[in-house]
Amino acid sequence: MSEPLLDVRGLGVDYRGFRALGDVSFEIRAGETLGLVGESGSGKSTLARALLRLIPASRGQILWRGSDLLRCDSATLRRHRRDLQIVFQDPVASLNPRMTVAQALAEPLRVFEPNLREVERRARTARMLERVGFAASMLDRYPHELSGGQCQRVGIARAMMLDPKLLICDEPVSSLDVSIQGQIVNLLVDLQRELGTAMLFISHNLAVVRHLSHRVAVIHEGNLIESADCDALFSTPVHPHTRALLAAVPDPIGRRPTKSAAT
Amino acid sequence: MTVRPAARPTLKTQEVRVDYPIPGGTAAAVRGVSLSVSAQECLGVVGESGSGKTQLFLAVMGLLSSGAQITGSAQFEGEEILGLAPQELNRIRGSKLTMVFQDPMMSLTPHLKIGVQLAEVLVHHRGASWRDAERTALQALDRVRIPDPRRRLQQYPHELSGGMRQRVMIGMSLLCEPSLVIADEPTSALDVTVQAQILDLLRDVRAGTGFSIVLISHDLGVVASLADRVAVMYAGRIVESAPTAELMRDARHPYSALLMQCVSDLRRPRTDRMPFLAGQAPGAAEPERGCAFAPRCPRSTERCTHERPALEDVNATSQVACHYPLR
Repeated sequence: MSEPLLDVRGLGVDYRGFRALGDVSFEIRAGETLGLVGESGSGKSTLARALLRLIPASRGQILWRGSDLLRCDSATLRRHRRDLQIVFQDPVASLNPRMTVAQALAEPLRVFEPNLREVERRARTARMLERVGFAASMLDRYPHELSGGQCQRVGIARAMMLDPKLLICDEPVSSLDVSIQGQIVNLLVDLQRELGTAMLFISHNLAVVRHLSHRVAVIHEGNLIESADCDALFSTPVHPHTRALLAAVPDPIGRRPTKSAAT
Repeated sequence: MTVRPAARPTLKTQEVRVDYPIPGGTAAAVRGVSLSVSAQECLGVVGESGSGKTQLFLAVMGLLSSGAQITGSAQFEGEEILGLAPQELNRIRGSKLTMVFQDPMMSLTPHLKIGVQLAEVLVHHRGASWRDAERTALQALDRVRIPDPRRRLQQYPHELSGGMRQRVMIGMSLLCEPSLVIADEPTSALDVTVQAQILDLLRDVRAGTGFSIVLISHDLGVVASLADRVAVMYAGRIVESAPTAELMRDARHPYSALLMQCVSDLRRPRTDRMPFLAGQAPGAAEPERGCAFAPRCPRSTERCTHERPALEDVNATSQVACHYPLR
């Protein structure tokens, strides 16, 4: 087995004495998708943010290709950051309303490749735009002219501009209509297959997690309570809380009463 | 089973349109919707963002901004309510006709205790004393299964979880024994286990009493788990309406069938591609030409692009608006 891309050991986050994240350890290998499921308040987003050092961790290690992101100097952190990108839940709020699609996509290049020639920057922006299924006419649009699903495709394109090694997706489809969630999920799967990007895919939507994960971890009250290969987790969940999560998905065709098992 | 008495429906809308003037024309959010909700019935209304499902019921509730031009008719228990003056509307709004919104944090007042917010409904609509109102408020929290309701009455909205807040909203909507509760995406801001609890709760409180529900959602799975009948909306119109079991088994409109495929179902085998609906519905400002779904429809022909299909009866309980229905 190759060495993991990301090796998280005993990561914890406290907010003024409240343990949002207890003691979380897991690995992600290159090209692998780890699905992370849990309810609101279970610590999913705290974990995503702590991994990128958007919020301070209270303890533990985040080993990124061998070096600890919690203890490296700012120049090293900055160098690693281009390899670690994130897609947020609210696709509209995560775009700057005053930037066109072209400007939003060019921004990562301006930051990390400031010496790039304008022509080259434009070419790469256009290529990525096409990659997420947009016509070139989208380049001059502003976020308010786009639907939620389109905004999220721009968010994904922006995160992929620097060809990251790990993409963290924090509930990327939860605010979208069910009818278009599949488009975003398929896009992420395609990007991963073509570019070999590893993913941490966070969601409370089990059907979506099942669709694109290789392995799934379940988080509950700040701790991982179960982790298994995707098929195994869905066919034979072990932890009672995992079973409750699975039981809560409405069953439309059988019209089974959704008597909730979880509390 | 649904009781379908010959008596007048609780809510009956006829050709409701909602238009907004925009530079150079109008944007049509709702393009003529006729539907009825019988006593004790749960009607599910399904559609994507922008289909007009929320606009329709905000119009019924008299909650749209003054810029909206509303035409058509909406009768609540036999009384026309479209165009009623706010003070007239307030006789029924909040008591006999109530609404539960998507975001329970936004619909509760942040600086008032839960108990006060519940009690003032009864003081205002029923002329109850504050003391009596607080007692009824306590029963209301108990009814929506909020543990330790006495303590909750003394708390502020931010001290409650999203699921608890939505229970409070449901409890509030039931305070004056309404005839109709309109629930607009009541579980969309909640995660899956809490969603299941809220749907259970709606089912249980409804079983004990006689009120009707309109359940609005973009997720057919959510709607189907509760509704007796489903109306599917697309680009401001109803394109199919049928009893839930019939729609789930034998959808007639290609749009309904495609929406069905997008419903999360863990019992289906894992597939390589996740189903989704490509393309977008026409915007409200675009003029209507033919069937609005034609550009996204696998069955569309030349005819669909210029001739709009009318919503027609298929049998006593179902209607569809399609030139080439699936069955």
